[in-house]
Amino acid sequence: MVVGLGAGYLSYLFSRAKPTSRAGRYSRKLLSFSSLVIGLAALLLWFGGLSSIAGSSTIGFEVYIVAVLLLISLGMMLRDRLTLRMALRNFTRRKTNMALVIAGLMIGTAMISGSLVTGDTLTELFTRGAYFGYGHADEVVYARNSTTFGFQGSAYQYFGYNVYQSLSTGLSNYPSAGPDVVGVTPEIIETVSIYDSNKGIVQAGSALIGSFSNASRALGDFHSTSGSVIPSTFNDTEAVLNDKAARDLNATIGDTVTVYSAQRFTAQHLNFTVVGIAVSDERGSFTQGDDVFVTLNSAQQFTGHPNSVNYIAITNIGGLRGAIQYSRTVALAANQTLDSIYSTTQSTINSTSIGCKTDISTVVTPPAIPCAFTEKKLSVDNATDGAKSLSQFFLILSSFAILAGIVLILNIFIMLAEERKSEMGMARAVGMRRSQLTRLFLFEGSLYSAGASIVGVLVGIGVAYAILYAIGNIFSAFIPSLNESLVLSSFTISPESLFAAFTAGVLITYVTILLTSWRISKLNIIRAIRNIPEPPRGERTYTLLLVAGFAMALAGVVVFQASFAAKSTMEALVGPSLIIFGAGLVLSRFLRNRYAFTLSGFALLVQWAVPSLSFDNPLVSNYSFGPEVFIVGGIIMVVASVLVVMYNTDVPLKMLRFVLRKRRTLTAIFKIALSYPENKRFRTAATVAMFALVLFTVSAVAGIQAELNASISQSAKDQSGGYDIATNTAPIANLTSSVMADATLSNKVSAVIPFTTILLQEAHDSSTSQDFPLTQLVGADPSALGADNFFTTNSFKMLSLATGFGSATEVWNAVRSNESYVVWSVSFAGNGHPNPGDDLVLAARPAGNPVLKSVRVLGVLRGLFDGIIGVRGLLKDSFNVDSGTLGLVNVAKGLDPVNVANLLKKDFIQLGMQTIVIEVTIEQGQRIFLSFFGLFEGYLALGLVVGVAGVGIISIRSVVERRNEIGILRALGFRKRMVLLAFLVESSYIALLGIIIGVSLGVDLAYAFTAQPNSGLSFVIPWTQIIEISVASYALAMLSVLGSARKASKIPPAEALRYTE
Amino acid sequence: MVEAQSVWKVYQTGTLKVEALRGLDFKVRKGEMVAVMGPSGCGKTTLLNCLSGLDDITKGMVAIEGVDLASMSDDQKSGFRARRMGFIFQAYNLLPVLSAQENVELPLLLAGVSEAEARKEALSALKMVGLEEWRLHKPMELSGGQQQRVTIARALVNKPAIVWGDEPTGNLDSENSAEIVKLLRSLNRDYGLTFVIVTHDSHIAQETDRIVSMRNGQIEKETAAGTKS
Ligand SMILES: Nc1ncnc2c1ncn2[C@@H]1O[C@H](COP(=O)(O)OP(=O)(O)OP(=O)(O)O)[C@@H](O)[C@H]1O
Ligand SMILES: [Mg+2]
Repeated sequence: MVVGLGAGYLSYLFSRAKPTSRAGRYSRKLLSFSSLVIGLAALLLWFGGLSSIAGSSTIGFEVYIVAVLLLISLGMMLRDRLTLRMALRNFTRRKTNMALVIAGLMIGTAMISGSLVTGDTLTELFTRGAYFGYGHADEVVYARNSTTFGFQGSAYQYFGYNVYQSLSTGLSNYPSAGPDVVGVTPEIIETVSIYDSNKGIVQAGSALIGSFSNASRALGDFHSTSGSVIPSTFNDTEAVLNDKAARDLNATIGDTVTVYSAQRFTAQHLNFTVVGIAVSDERGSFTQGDDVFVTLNSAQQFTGHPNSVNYIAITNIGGLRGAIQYSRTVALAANQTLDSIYSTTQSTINSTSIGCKTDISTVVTPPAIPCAFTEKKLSVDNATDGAKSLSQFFLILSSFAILAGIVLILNIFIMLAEERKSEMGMARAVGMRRSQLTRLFLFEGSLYSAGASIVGVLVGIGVAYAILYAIGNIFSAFIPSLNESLVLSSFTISPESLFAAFTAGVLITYVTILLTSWRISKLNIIRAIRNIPEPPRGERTYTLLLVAGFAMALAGVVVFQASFAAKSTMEALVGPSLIIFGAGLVLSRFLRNRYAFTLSGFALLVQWAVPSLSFDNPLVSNYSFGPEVFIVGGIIMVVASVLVVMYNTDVPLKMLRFVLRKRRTLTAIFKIALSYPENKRFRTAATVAMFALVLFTVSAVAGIQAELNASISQSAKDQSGGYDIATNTAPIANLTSSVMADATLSNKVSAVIPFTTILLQEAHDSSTSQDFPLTQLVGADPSALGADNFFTTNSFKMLSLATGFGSATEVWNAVRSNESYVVWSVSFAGNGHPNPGDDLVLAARPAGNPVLKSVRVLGVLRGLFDGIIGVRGLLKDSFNVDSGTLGLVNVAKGLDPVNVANLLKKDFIQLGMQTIVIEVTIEQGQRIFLSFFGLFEGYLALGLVVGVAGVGIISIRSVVERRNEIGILRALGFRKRMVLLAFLVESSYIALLGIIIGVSLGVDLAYAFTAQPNSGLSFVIPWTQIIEISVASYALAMLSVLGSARKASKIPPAEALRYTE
Repeated sequence: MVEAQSVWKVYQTGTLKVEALRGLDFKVRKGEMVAVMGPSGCGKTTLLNCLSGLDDITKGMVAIEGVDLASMSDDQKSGFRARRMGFIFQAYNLLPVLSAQENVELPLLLAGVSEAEARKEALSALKMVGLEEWRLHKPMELSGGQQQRVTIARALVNKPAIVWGDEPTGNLDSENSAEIVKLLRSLNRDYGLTFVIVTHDSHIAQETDRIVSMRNGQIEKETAAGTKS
């Protein structure tokens, strides 16, 4: 910066030297490069050292670049006051024009700023759950139980109270971590069902949390809704519910609740009197579920583990949010201590470690002893990542509007240049230098870009608030405990985001303007003065095009070649497009432009719009594939369509003329109206492209949403595997007989399929060397009768099969008859899975000693959970497990699964039974997912502002440009209304072309979605939405034109004729 | 044909008042060819605009074919122009986005002639001015004289009762001007068209039937044109 300023001052000194003196002449030469020199010097400076001081983040660099750019512009402005004055006058000359330009330019920035602020806000919203869900349990110590686990809570092994004591003293004496630890709290956490006997309501899957009364010293107090502290010195028959549990049970203070274990099959239960209801603060919302807090003593009694605990919470200094920065140090110290307590070291036995992780560089493998985990930090990090990726997605969606914005800038500036052509020609004729002309535009552009970026950042805040509002609506519709105001209260704006959005906005507009200004200043002076259009391109240009075409085609071949090795869809598809485009350029040397570009446009359209050639091309079926493919494909399709349409405008014109041949006055109006777009190809194409880009994205998203929406019930049915209810209980050997023995249920339930279950330490894929830690393995009875046989009744969809197997039935038959064959199940949210045919080594420690078992994966299915399905014998023979927690239930025909699920929960409260009504749950999940599509659509529709502003600016410009022609028309006998109509027809033509192209391509993309193999979707055209959005964008465009069109029609003919530009 | 009585035209621009026409009387007979001359700023263009109904007058009365312009709505005046009038202005008064032929067709389409018919008549009008080979060219691709001839073809294509010309040869060299005037004169003779032409060129004025000299928004004197009357 200092050097930049110095250089600026030097050039200022030079510029004051007399131009005739030698120094003056020299300085003028130098001066024309000075801004470039300063820019380079600034870059050097940054990489030479500033970056290390300011931090090498991209945002820092961006801010720096923008600052340098603005300073250079400012310096140039101060040096060249005359040009600045002219630029300022141009800037403020036409107010409506200025407003429209800024409105169009700011949308890109607004969307960037909106996405970033949304990121801030969602980070706050999501991490809040993470912070409160753990409260002051900054690190937690436990050992997982392999045979019991709930839907929500995990089950933990019990260990002696002395472990807690040793850990506590060990940690406080630990040199590196001791000072970071505020407290160590022993607890018991167990999954239970709660029954409120006063209200008669059961709540399964709740957490029983037992702790000493002094736990509140480290974990914080319980607070009642009034804000007062609920004393934690309650006795062994008393309990505090959190407000979530109280709401679910409809419980009030004084009620008696009965607690049943969900982890052991036992008739034992305990009664508690509710003495307090705690609000969901950092203490009260532990696990973010339904909690019942009791004394450690009663928890020990209830679970049958006197003198034991199963959970230790470690509290750091730093408070609720600041504490996680110490998590790693403290956890490693705790693990060191625990390893020494158990006298284990971190040894690896057959890829299964026994001790705790004491070194961050080692790979996590589930340990056999209680260890400390930085779960709170992980949860916060995950939440942050989730928020960031959603915000990133919004950014990706913005790219279309940003691109449309760039086209708008181009268009505006080329139009401005045309408008001022003779003015500029005069200026050059009287001695203004070319660089000064560039500067004139650059200055004006800087004003626009700064204005638009500031407005954009502010509008972006509004956009982000609207997004948050919509998200709040979605969440509160599905999750009763989340209300709109709670979501809105997490609205957060970080200055960094605003800054990043501002700099990005300035950079994008500025660079575009820089290039356009440079191009404009190269206009021929004579032609500019006489206002003659640039001549058609000569031989030389075509030879240049020929070379460029060959180069492009060659690049295409290279890219396509590379795609095989990279397995990249993008390269495999873009390569041929480059070849086609290059071929078009080459052809334009030999054919008329019209034929060359129509041909290549069509070829590109065919390549991308036919799904089997593009997105669903068998060639790319197992290549990497991201949303960027759709973006690039969409852009190419839009460009190709615009090419085809622009070079064939006479076709729609002829059709229109044919339709209107009986309406002669209309023919005259149409002839006039449509000949302008044909003659002003660039601005027409640019505006059509803006509309098409936006409409493309909106209608594609609308189409995909409609398709998913139409498939919800069917796909929920498919994913349910043909079962109504999934149950989770304490481990039990034979769920079927228990359910069938129940008198109230026997005729309501048509099938019960119990699974034996074990939580594996890990599954190791020997083929890919991939580890799947903490994987669930379930086994079904291969010889169960009729409807109770999982292998013959399930209809889960196989995503892929091992070679040699032709159908799901074949796979299931093989699994059923061989203990070493399994099927891998991936849930809707699950990600990684082994490939069919892979061999897995399953590792578990059912009785303390490690057991390994090799199996082969025969198929991968889309199921209800992430894990492995085999036969009972596999679990019994290899791991000695013969009971399980998972069951699948079918209800008798005509009964409502929801009612039966409630009956099951009540009747099997002693098993702590939790139920999931499968289809309802899947459907709800999908509906939440789909609700976001509506949000995306609305967000994309913001891009419409760009197109509308574009049309508006063109029409304002046209009125000025064509004043004289309007006069001629009026003299020829055009009525006022006919002039108005001509303007509206012209803009309609442009807007409708864009809308039609965009919507057709969007619908095409939605079709490509359904054409994917295994999509399970059927093609739906969301007519209402498409009509709505088309009509809305058309109406907006017309509205933006109406003003200037009316102005045009009202110009008195004599007045218009006087006008010469 | 055209009758103007004590016509006043006052331009009000801000606080400034310009009296462009000051109680002017003027008459054009059917089939007559009249030249209007006078120094720059004397109100010639204003007179033309007011007589043809392109502009409203401040005071007085203008009647064309016996109809008072003041009694006509804007749309009626537009319709009247489409059917009964032709205009030839200085250069650059073609629509640049339309070809020569399309420019000439336009008045016919406005008058409700079918497209095929319009094409035929436009072609014969272009033939009349000797430009049928240039019919597909855009104005930008034509020379000034050619453009002006297209304008004349357009002004005459719908067989107007009266043709207004505001310096129709203003941008042309003397040779071209003479040719254009000859053309106009022959049209006046052969078809009995009425012409009112504003010009600075006394050679051209001499070709007409009558010369009206203006000064300061008033008619200074009227003289019968020399040679051919
Ligand atoms: N729209 C207008 N607003 C204000 N004043 C006008 C307007 N049109 C013409 N004038 C003024 O009226 C007077 C007559 O103008 P007019 O154009 O009729 O002159 P002219 O005789 O055609 O001149 P020239 O030979 O230069 O074309 C001039 O003084 C002019 O300044
Ligand atoms: Mg004049």
